[in-house]
Amino acid sequence: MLALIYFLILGVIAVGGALCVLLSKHPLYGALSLVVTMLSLAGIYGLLGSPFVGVVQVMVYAGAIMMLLTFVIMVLNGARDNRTPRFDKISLFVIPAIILMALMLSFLILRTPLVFNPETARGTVSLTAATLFDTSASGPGYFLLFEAIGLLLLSAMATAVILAKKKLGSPETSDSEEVH
Amino acid sequence: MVRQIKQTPMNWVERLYIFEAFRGLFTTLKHFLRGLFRYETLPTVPYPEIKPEIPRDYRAKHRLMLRPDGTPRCVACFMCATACPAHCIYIEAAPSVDGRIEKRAVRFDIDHLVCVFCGLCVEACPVDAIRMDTQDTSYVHRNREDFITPMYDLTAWDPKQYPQNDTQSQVAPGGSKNQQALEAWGLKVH
Amino acid sequence: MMEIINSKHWIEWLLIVAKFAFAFVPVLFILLLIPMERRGAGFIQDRQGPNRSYFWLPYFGRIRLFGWVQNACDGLKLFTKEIYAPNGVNKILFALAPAIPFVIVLISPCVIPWFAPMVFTMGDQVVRVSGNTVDSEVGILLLFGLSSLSAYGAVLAGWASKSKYSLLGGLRTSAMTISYEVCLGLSIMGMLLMVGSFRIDDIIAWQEAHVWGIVAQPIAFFCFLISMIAETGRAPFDVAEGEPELVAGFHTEYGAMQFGLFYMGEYSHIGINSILVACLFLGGYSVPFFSQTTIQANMGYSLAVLCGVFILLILTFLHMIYRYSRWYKTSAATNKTVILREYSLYKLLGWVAIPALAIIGVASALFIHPEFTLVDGKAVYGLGIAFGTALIQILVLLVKACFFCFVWIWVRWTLPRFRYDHVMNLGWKVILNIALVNLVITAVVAKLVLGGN
Repeated sequence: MLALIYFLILGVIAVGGALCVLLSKHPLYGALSLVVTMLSLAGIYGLLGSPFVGVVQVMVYAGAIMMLLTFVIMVLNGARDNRTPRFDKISLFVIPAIILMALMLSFLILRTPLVFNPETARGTVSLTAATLFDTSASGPGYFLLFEAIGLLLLSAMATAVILAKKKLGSPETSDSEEVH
Repeated sequence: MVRQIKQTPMNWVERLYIFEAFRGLFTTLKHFLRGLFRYETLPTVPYPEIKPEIPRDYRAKHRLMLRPDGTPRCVACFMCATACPAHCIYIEAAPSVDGRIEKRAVRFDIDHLVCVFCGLCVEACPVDAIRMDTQDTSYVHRNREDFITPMYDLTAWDPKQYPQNDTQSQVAPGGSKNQQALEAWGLKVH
Repeated sequence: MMEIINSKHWIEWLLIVAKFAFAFVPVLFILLLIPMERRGAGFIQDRQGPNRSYFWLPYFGRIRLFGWVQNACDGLKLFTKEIYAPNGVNKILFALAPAIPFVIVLISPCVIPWFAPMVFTMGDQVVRVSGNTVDSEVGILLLFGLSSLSAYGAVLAGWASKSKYSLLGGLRTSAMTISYEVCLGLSIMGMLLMVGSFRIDDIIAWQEAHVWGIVAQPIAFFCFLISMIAETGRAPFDVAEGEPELVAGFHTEYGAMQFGLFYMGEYSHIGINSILVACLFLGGYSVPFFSQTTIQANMGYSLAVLCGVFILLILTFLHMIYRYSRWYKTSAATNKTVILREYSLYKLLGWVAIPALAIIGVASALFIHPEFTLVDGKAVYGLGIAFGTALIQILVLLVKACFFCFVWIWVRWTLPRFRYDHVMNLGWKVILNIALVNLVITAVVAKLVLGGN
């Protein structure tokens, strides 16, 4: 009962934040609404008996990634962003995509048996660790995926460094940007 | 004299920063503990309650020296007013009543708002009539006009507050050597 | 509803509610930190620091409390000033920003254990109360997450102020938070690897059983401390409000209590970080050289020793008072009588407190004989003993935290501010790598020496 009340509150906040992301004109407001969404999602994870995932959500998404996003928005600080219309031609493609996504999700959710028991621990630290790294229990699938994602992120980081270095090294590119 | 200080490049321990940081921390810790446990040895004093000791040769507020009979030693030669870079000294001269001296000052004003306390007037004075050894560094008035100190205030000092070996101060009226100086100087010619 | 209420003993409910009061401990650290900062800065620079503010008592006259009254003056000044926003600021975010760090600081102490889990018998029931408000198994991660959120206050303030200086300050804050968050997490990982848990209680229990974290992981300790100082945005890492370049950084446009909230947020953040460092590396609430069972079994003697320590401290204090009095009597101060009258109050309090503490100490050593019942082979004591243990443990934790508070101030007034690119270099090129290498070595050593999977 108590869990349901909490879930409703957090769910309303999460959906409201997500709507604000879509509808806000200035990107910074969008980013802030996204932070609110992330935090309420973290609350929902905690409610579902997986505090580890919730806290990682707070730490990584709300803390680090959204902070990075805010940083980028502030660096690019465009006052003209306030004047972009809420709906334009691109929305014609975006809105059907959103509706399609919602339909797919609702189809999935309707097909899934909803057994909700907040008492069971799903994502505690030891459980998460056992699922990811204990290959004898759950097979090597998750472990391999984990390593593959690690490699992917590493290569992405290396690529970003190389790209940034190229830009810093050659003055022509920066000149052309200024002309533009 | 130009002294050249040779700057030695930092060695690798110093360049690591962390050890030098710890040395700095040690220094500040020493100072902190001294303040905490030897509070009274701090070089600063709680000012209005405890006044710092100002040395005699500190250039403070001016005073006009006095002859044994109580007249200012000033002979109105305008040397100080000429030497003053700030033009803060105003003198009006008059013939002296004492036959041995040509002139005397009837007005001697120093504007202490204009004065730059450079001490050139003291250097310029041929008869040691003006000095800056009152140790009086803070004086407060409500109007600007009050900072123009007339001769009356400049001569209103007490010889007892000056050291005994300062003969020039002690010959003034009230000083320890006044009586014998008065005899040497001679009584007033009236 | 009744089931929930009946599921716990009433004393447990009472303690659970009472533990919420611990949320204000970091805020109370402000009371300690402001005089410590101001007068400590004074002493380090061979000055006296602010000691003039006083309140008036009937017989004793002006009571200055060695500058502690300055807190009240600061607060009063900030409260009574006009709240002012410049033209063109973003009203909502401008008003919201100062609240964020302060709210976070109120939330985050919930996972810090203030004392070891209390187990005591109440009637015929055995009651167990954890030492923290929220007994979460991801405690330390939650703390890191929350403290990274608190940087939003500075970032939003910088953006909402419509000022170039504020914006640059906000930008620097966000960049530095991201950088040092990484170092913070990585440097603590070695410690967590050895302990095998994110729960702060477990970390402290491990340190109690083995050695303090500062001995087990000295490199991680330094990395962690540096990252912590950087994360609070204090000198030498206060590039976000570096006054030579940016007027006052992100709080340039703030005044009155809005600035006061930033100020309090920063100081409480120091308080909470000090407690965290004390928990992770100095054994938290565990009393050095004495295990909890020893203390509980000899509660009377423990309290007597505690009273003895207090008496020693008061004697030191009195010694200083007498020395100052002697000095004032011989000095040329014009306010001699006022000061001596004030010191007579301290002397009176000291000389009243010493016999009182001595009586309490002797009485507790003579008359407290803890009685226990065996539960699962462990001795479980009554409510009084549990409270006594908790009191001692809280005091020990606070003493350790106060030491780190001093470290914060000490470092601030020693090291000059880093240039911005130096801060970034230090974060990404030095501390991160040291922490990584430390983590790898710890992992290898833990695998080889300690065993484990």
